[in-house]
Amino acid sequence: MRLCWQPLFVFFGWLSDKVGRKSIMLAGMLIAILSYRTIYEKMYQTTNVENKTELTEKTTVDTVYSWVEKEGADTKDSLITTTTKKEYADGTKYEEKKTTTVLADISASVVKPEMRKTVIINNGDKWSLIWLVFIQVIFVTMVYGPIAAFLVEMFPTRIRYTSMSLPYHVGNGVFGGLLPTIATALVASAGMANEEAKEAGTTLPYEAPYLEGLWYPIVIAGICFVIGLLYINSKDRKIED
Amino acid sequence: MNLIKKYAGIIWLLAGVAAGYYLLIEQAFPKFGTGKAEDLIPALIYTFILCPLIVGSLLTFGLYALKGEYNIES
Repeated sequence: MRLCWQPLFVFFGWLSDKVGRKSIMLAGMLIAILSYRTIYEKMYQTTNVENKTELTEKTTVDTVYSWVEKEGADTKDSLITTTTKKEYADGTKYEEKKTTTVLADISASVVKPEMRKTVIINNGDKWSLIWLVFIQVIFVTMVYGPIAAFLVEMFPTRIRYTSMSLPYHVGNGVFGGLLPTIATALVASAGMANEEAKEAGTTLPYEAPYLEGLWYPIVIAGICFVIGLLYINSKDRKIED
Repeated sequence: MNLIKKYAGIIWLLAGVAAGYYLLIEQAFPKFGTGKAEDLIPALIYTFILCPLIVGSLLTFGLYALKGEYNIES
């Protein structure tokens, strides 16, 4: 995979020598901003088993009862583990494992069941997902290919490394590094808002809560795009000053 | 173009204030009150990492833009 996209860094670096760094980097950001939701919706729906035809004759449900084992404690709590396996017409396999703890003490608060879902996709879907990730890698290379030369050209030598290093590492380390945490928190928050609305019987506030995490990269890229478009001077290419 | 850059500084200043309000009042403070670990981590990130960086950067950037620091002399 890396062999496929590594040359794109070189290609966009080379192209930026010809047509300018700013235009390519801004184009990469803009295409990403406009297409993120579409790409991730497609990725989500590719693995969504609700869109697939289930082969009901192959569905199995196994339930196992066991005691909760705690070291040094005599407990009467029990576990009910239900494993549901489903197969779909396109070759997709689905497994759902639900573990419910039944407490012996009926006055104790009910423990929320643990749920683990596994989807094994077919070969076609696998390649479809690889392609959708690859498209996003193109956007990355459009921004990252020219970035080293772009940053060097942006600042005078007196303050060059400080000016390059600080924003680069804040951008990568802080904003990039926190993406999984923030995106997951946004998705969880949207999911909870939908759950509350469902319980209250009102309209769901989020149509696709699983896409809410995308607002973080979209907003950050949007701000970078506007600032880059308005404030970055693409004509200053003197690197010896 | 210089005029747009300059007056867009007001937008960046307002965006900084809006980001601060959203990150602290809308997101972080309600999460501090829940007492759950899964809420505490994002709340700490919003308050001590993202808020100073985003709000500080937008306000500083907006201020300098309004002063005309990014203007290009023809």
